[in-house]
Amino acid sequence: MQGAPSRFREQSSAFIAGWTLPIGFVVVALALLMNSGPVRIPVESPAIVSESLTAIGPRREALRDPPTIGVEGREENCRACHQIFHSASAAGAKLSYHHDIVLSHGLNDRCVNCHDIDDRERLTLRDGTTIPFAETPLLCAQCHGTTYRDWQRGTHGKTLGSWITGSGAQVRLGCNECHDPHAPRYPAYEPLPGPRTLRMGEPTHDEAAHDRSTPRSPLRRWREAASGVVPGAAPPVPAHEP
Amino acid sequence: MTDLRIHDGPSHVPAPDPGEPALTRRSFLRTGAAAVGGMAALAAALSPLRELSSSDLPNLDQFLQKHYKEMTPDQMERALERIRAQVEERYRVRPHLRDLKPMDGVEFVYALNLSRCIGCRKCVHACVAENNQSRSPEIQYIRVIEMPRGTLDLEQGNHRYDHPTVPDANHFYLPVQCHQCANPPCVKVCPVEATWQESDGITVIDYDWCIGCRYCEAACPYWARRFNFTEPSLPREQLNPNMAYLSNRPRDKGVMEKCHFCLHRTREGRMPACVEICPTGARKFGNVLDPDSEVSQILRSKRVFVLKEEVGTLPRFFYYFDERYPNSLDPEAIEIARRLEREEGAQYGALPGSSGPNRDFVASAVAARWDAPFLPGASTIDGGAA
Repeated sequence: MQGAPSRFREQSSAFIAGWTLPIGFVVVALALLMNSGPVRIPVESPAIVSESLTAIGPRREALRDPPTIGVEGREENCRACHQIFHSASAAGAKLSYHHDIVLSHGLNDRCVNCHDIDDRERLTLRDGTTIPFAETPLLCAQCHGTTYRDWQRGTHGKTLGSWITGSGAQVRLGCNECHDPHAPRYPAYEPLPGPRTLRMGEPTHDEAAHDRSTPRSPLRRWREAASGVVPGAAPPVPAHEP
Repeated sequence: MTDLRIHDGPSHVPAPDPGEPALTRRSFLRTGAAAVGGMAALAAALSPLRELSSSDLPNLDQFLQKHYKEMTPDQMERALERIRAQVEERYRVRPHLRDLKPMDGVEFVYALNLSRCIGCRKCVHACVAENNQSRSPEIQYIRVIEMPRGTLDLEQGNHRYDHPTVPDANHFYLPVQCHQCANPPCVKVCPVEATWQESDGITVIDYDWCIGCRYCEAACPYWARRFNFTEPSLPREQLNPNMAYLSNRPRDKGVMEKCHFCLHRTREGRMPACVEICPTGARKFGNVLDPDSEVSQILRSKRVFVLKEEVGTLPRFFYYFDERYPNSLDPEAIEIARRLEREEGAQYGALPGSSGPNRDFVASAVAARWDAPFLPGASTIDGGAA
């Protein structure tokens, strides 16, 4: 029986050769399984997006009744000073206080055009009646009648809250909640960044090389070829517009 | 023939083929090394699967999900729960997700005052923050076009303007977004009915039904539809958890999206994000079936126009300009006021000897001739402050 040991060796070798692969698979699979499994990360509360984009209130703080002003760190009523000090009412009078007020409102050059000369906590209309600060639109309406009409209809000005009329949730901002009554023209704004989207982003060279002041035309290439201008030979123009 | 019969005898154990090499140690090591190397390569190749979460693959529910209009309330609730789980898994935020239906007796209309728009682009970015668009690559629903004054030729517009401050004196600004047309070409071309118009006028998209063919993008004359060319990337902390099925829930790669008038807000009575953010009040939104709404007032009293009227899409997005009334510095207004003083004995302070209160009233005097019932001082003032 000389052939038996070699035969046994052959059989075991064949066994090993045949099962290496499956066993290997099993081992790898076990390793992967033990290493995997759901990774649990605790749920976080969402952060607020950029504050400038969530600020939806009035553009400026309007004076409320009774109007107050910061005087040396304290909030004081107008009467606190104005019942003591007599303030100049003439045009071009030099102000001894309120230096921060820049008056740039058409031909208005006197405080008392709008502010009541006797009671500084009220405003004065053209006919001499006085109104509280809450009714400022009536004062503005004296000159800006058409704008006031539009504001009453809701076609001028900003409305917040809800689009449902008569629900009480709708808030229409007053004139002085957007405009500074002393300088009503809107200031210039810094624009937010322009589009960098896939199809609206930086202009391609071809677009940039083309003068945008003339209308784009599908016949442009044809015209350029006809007039002898080769599009590819155009001098390179910086991609950014000045 | 006889030979074959002899060799095919029964119970014959075939001897090892002498031509086959015996398994040597060398060949065993070679085979073993190859097998181990293969294993390692396989394991390495499979290892990314460990990071695969269930939300990355369409599960059976998503695969079998029906079209939005065919879903029963139960099925919709299951779909919503699946999306909630996916969002929670991806963004670690539990979203407030629901399916909002159109309100009865409501048709939304948008109006935009071109005299007031200053081109600050706040609406563009407020929209992105509200609606969970991809931040990289950027997807924006609103395009603010800077137009030279005196023309409405869109070919002359430029949406890449980059001034230090706006508005630029020689331009006006024309923001364009989905016009929610009453006759929408994008809906007509969709081959799978993944987009349709709802009863309140909003054209919506079922993001789970869209196949990404982009026909609608080509059909839209306002360039209002956007395509997710890549997997949308949205930082976890910027996710807006207030979502609706048809509006701002996170989209997948390969689907269309567009402005939907913030229906997750507007169908609850709130204003769209672009209206709320607008610093000048140029944007107006409301129910056109309500005669008291701001948009109804605008349609009645302003001269409105729509973009590309000739293509017959019947947009629900109207543009208007304010009439230009003279101000107190306008020579024409002063001239009219002087004439009124001369001819009618009015006192506006426009003539040198006139005892009018202030020249500032010149403008209102002139306007009074045009719009007498609306001018204060007349008896029509009804309180004013809203």
